[in-house]
Amino acid sequence: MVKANTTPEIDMSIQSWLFNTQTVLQFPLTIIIVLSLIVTGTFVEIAPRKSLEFMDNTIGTIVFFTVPLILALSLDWATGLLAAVVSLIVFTRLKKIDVDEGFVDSSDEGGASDTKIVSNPHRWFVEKMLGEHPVAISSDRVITRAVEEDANRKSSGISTSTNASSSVFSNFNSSSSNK
Amino acid sequence: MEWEALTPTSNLDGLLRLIITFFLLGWNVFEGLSLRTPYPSTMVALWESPVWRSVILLTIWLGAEWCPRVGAMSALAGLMYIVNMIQI
Repeated sequence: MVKANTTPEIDMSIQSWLFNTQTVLQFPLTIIIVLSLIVTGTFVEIAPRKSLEFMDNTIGTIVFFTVPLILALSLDWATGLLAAVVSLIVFTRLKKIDVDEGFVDSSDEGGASDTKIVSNPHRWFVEKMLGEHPVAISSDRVITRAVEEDANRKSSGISTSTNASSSVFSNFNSSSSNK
Repeated sequence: MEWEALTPTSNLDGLLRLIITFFLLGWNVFEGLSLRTPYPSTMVALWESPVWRSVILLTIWLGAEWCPRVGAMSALAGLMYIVNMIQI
């Protein structure tokens, strides 16, 4: 009696190898990608904008729309949807400018903070009109400087008048702060 | 997305899908897409927690795995909430 050979024939083609690899790795790959997307979406809000600026261009925008499509086609629809949501969250984060970026008010000499408590109960006209009740003021003086180039060329009389105008400004500020 | 995912497995499953889909639809209409309606203070306070943000994203994925309609509605609701919180 001859036994029949029951061993199935193994398909050694590249196509079947790719299919087997995708089948075996699809579940762990989905889990890893979903966890990565959740971590990205969770912490992108507190990430500094400078670390995301490399995506703030045309290529980055293309990536935002391409990655969800690739994930939806290769893995499943739910992962693609999550990727689309995370992409839009990152896109929104890129459009928001950090508070510490941009113009820094360093009008005071030396850059030191010169915030003063407003102790005068009388308010300015503008404050009354706008309904503002300030409790502190960051800068209560205007610093002016004469143009040095002109001062070197012209006579000392003009320079003296320039200094006089500066002193008038400072007198005005000191008197206005004591209103 | 397969067509089988749109078909409920039982009557209870179908009822739950219908309720959650319409709840999220109403939420998006009256809360998410309306700029005049502020989010509840609890949700605003919870935004600082990373766990809360992770739960929202995980809910979107699980909702989409369960039912595509629920996934679409939860994705819209979650996206509106997160974008509003980031913009604030």
